[in-house]
Amino acid sequence: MMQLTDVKAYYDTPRGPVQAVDGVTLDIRENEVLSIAGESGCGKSTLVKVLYDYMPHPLRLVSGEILATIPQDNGETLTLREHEIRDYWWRHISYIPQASMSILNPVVRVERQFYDAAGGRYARGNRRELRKQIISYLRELELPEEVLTSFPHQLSGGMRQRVIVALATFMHPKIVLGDEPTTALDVVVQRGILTMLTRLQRQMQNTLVIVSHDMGVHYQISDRMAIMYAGKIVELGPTEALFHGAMHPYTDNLIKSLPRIGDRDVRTGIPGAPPSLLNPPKGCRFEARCPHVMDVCRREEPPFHEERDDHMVACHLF
Amino acid sequence: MIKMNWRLKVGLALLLVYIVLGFVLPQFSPYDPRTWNAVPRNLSPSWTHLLGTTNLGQDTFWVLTWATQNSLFIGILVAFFATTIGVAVGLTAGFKGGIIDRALTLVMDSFIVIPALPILILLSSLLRGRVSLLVIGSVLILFNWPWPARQIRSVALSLREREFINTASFSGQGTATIIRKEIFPYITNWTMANFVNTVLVAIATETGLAVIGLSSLETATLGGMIYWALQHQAVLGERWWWIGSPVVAIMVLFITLFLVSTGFSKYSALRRGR
Amino acid sequence: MRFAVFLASRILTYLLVMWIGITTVFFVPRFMPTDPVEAMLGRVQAQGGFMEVQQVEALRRSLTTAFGLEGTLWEQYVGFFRNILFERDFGPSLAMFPTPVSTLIAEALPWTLGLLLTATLFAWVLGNIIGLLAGYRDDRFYSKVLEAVAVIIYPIPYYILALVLIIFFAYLLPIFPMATSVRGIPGTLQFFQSVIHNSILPGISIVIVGFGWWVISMKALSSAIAEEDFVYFARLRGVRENRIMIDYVMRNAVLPQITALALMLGGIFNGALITEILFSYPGLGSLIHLAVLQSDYNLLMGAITLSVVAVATATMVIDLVYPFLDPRIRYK
Repeated sequence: MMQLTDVKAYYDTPRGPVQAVDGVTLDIRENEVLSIAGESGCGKSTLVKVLYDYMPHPLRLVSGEILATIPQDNGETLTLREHEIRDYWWRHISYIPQASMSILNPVVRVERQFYDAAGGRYARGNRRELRKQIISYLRELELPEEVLTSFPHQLSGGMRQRVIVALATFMHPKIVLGDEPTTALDVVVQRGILTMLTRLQRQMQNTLVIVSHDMGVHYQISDRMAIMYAGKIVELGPTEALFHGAMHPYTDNLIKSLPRIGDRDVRTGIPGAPPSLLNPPKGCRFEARCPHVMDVCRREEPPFHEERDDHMVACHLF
Repeated sequence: MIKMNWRLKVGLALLLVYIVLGFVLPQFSPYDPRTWNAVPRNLSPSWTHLLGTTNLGQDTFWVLTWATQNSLFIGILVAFFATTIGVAVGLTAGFKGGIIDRALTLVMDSFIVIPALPILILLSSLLRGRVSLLVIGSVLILFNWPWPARQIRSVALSLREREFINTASFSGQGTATIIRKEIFPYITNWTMANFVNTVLVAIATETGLAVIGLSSLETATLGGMIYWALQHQAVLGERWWWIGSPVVAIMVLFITLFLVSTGFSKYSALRRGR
Repeated sequence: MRFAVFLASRILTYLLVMWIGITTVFFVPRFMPTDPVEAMLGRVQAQGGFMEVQQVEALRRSLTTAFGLEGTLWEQYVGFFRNILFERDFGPSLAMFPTPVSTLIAEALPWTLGLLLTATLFAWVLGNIIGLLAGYRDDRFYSKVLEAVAVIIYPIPYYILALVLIIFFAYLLPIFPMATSVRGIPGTLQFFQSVIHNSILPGISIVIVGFGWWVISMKALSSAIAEEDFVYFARLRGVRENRIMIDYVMRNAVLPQITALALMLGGIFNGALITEILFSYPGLGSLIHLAVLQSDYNLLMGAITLSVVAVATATMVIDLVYPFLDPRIRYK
């Protein structure tokens, strides 16, 4: 579906480039839920922006290749390279942002905001047709028709995020990117949104890429998982395999820091802080915090390779 | 310290020029600006008369210095009292809340929409030129306090909800102490910008009144200079120095005050890290 | 329900504004050391020479009645309100005796409203469009130039600019008349053309100064709103830039601008009064000026009361329309 080869995307700042995504190679498959995990500031949101071909100044694609192959309804395949993807926004690829009070235009009815995204693709005469389609889609998602004639402030936080999901998936895009789509919502609402997302993915048989710092979310919904640390993917594999046989010490730490039923003592995070992305270390980026650090880790960058079946890792231990 | 922005720099530099012009130079004035025929009439600018002389036999430059002083005086007077009253009322309304707040807000909202100039015209036409700058100043204060009061009230309302105020009041500090220690740091910057802006508004209103001959005719102000120039057909007589000096002085003064006021609010926004 | 409360409180404020305004207009002359009746008597005597004592007494009595200064302060107060509210009457004008003041005001009002409304609306719309462009694209060179120009022009009051315009475009380059002189019979094309010709210069002075502020504040508002989440998300949905600028940025930024217009109406009116006087434009401003020059007490009181009422009413109209433009207030 999408192939990234050695992609580097930096933020230009007065103090030099911040290497937020630094040499990521990743393939995203058809009909899968891929989730990207990592601490805040590890570059996972930037990676999603790169996937979505949304790189406003000061973000810049420095090098690497992005290739999207999108199967069309007529059986042909649409091949897109970097900077071509944005022409197919909403139709073939869409984006779900983090929930917030002001994610929808407060002074325009929800209905109008559906039409806006449709843009020139629907002439004025076809409004009624479009409206019918939107209503039947909302019904499919078990959302009340009234949300269309509502203003955003009349909807609850959860309802607003459902509307966002509906907006993003209305055109049945082949790829849906979610950047922390459930963060800032309360737990019950979070569950509802996640259920909605997975159900939609199963129905549409498309690809869902989800970024979250919440390991629970990943475990609940994803087929494969990528762990990012300081601008690089350090481990990538099937979610089950990753949770039960983590290879990279960072992944291991992340999973161990999850609370479990029957816990007695307080779980501690990983000591130390991630390196500055302005001037990252030469070798492995995790070396300063790694419990198994060796001499080679400080000198050489570990290669990202397939260690087990479909399970890749970048660590000198393997 | 964050670097001052260009508005503040330019504004403050120009303001300094005006303060020298208005408050220092008049001390050295060789003639009383009110006496007519102290110098030959209608002279063009020269070294002895920098901006020429008027039809009334006054030296334009020295009249200008006195007029600047009086205009600045009324502006500062009004701004000082209007801002002080406004801040006091705004804080009271914001912190007391309840019926006091509602009553004060109603009064503020009422005064904001009443145009001050017609009332001033009524007043000064009844007093027939005997109206003093102080009377005009008092009326201007009456119409200019509600604006800062309104703004300070909303700041006070938002501050009241913040935690540190609660902590302070739980720890047994009196209201006055809380206001002085916890609130003032928040509002001083805004108040400064508002102060300068009120100076501008007050001078603008007085000038308007003076241009149509309804301000104090005994005390020279920048607007009064324009009035006399217009009365004596300075435009038709093409005596540009007479009519032009006060017009240019006022335009530049307004731009100066505006630059200081907006420059100051930008500067303080930066300092607060916004 | 909350909307009803909102509406009620606005109307209450309106009534209070009118009350405070009219009361101020009522009390100012009564607390002045000068007595308008004595002032008028002095004028008449200075002009007309000797008068018998009885004649002076008779004149004094009739002037007192004409000025509504009979009886106790409270009776005068009630009478003043009754005349304004129920009879819309301010007595006869003395400068143009015996034309009633209300007739003179009715003749002047269309001029003021026509000039002021057109110019203010034009300035508001123009300023908001330029401010939006400058704010939405605030990294462009032209937006910086526009802002600098607005910053320079805005603080200059109308009447100063009006003077400069008169000097340049009526005296040095005689394109427009120096003072308003309308030719032709009302209703004819010639009259209409003459009105437009005479209104352009005062109108321009109001527009040029007026729009500066709208540019400055709209630029600040729209560059802040361009950073909002909903603009970001609209962009990521592929909503076209023009649509984002109009429906997302402008629609949100224009709301505070409407409130600001209501708050600034009084100031705009002040400036326009003086502009009218400088241009001898036959509106309320000139009427007030005439009343002052002729010591026409009734005309002065009438025109000034009406100014206060007009500004308060216009402000309230904007305030009452506002909820219909902002759904967050309408659908609480």
